[in-house]
Amino acid sequence: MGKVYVITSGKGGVGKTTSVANLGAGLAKLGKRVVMVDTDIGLRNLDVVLGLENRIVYDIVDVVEGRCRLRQALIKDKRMDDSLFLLPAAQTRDKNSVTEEQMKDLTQDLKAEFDFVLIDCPAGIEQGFRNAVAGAEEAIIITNPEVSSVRDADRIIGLLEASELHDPQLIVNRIRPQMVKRGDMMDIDDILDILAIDLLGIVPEDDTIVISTNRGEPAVLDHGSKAGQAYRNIVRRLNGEEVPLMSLQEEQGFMLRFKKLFGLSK
Amino acid sequence: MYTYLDGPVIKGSRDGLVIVIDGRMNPDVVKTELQKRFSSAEDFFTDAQAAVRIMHDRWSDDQVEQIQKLLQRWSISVSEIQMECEDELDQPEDRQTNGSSEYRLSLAQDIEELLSAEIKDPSLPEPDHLSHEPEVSMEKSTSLIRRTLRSGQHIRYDGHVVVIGDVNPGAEITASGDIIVFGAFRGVAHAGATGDEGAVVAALKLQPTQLRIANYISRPPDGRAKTPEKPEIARIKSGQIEIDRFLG
Repeated sequence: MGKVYVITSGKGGVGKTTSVANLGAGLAKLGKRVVMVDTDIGLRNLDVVLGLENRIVYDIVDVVEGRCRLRQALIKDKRMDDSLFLLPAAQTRDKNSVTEEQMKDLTQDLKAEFDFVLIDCPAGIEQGFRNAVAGAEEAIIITNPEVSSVRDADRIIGLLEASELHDPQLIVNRIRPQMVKRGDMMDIDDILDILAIDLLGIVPEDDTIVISTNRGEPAVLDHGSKAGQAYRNIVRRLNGEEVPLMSLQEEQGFMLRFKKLFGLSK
Repeated sequence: MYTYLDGPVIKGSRDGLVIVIDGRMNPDVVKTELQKRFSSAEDFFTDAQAAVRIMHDRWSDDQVEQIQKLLQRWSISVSEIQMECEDELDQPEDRQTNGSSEYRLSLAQDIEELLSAEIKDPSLPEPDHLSHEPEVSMEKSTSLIRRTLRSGQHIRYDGHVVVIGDVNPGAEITASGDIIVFGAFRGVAHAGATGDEGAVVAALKLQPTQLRIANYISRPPDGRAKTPEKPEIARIKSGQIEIDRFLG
């Protein structure tokens, strides 16, 4: 029996879909059976980020409306042996095409076959959010170190508490250590002071994310990517390991130039 | 727990019902709310006489007529309709009860009398000398909240509110009495919401986005304010909201 995680944030564009893709691929690499569910119906992105959009025949709405079996709609990611699957959203419908009851049934079915069910939640607090949360047992909140994002995350945590989803975990995404050092960006303690939930991990701002998204190859598989390293650490924590928070300090001066000279750093 | 400012208030008085409406509310919302109250009370209000008071704002004749029609449908006869643009505190009816809060939701005069009788029961032990001191308030009730309030959560209470925890930005507390936060207050507070200018807002870390006491509104100075190091208390002094250090 697996566990159902909803990855949510409130605010849009903070890295939910990116995180689902990377956590999914990372867990699959560790040998876990993972299914990722895109509930952003009408604005689907998870398929694109994984490079699987050309393989979509059936989607989540086809499943709930009975036009296909759940198994038929699941897309297997060939890069990960038999471990990673995607249930894509529909692009030509909207978030009212699925109900919370249907989501509960769906996640129950998926739980039985997979170790991890990762639900990619859309931005907002309306039907899309309610659908994504309906079958969830655990929640992972994604936030950026930035006031509007934290404000929205706080709202979401309040709503999750009201739905009996307690003890969500936090990922702070897109940190720029230099800005934090200068005092121009919120630091982790400021964020935890307001949100007061457990920290699952931190991910630095990283150009490799842009590249990996465009290529459809999650950064967690790229050993040269700092963001990828951060996601690998988070994956290990989700798996029960204790991993210290990575140092985000950029290497300075001599050592950096030395490494670049020898092609040991980008 | 009483509600107020949240919808029309139906009070009992010697001469019949008094229906107090906050004129700033959407008339349709008021109609719906009255409809709800009347239907849940069934025959209770039938054949009653009601005086209608619309406070804080003027309604058009049309809008007033709609309320009248609604009341007629419930067999309630309207004895008078008054529109008042200033807050009126201490209505004569209130002095008959124990003089606390302006707006209370009560269904009938009988229930009110029953409640006030309990408070004045001579067989109960006399509260000690403290109750005669002006600083000690034993008439308003207090709601105690032992958790952090998150963005989007709104607490409304007829009385004092005490929070053990933080109040995050985007959260709001509206109270007819004082608001005390044993934590960081980063939201919006409205103390003395029914008009009590003596109400205060206090917190271990007072960093509100907006502060309101009675009819006064205040906000922090523009530019990044320093995080307060010590507990602070906000109250009305010389015609504005002033913040002082408190117990530190």
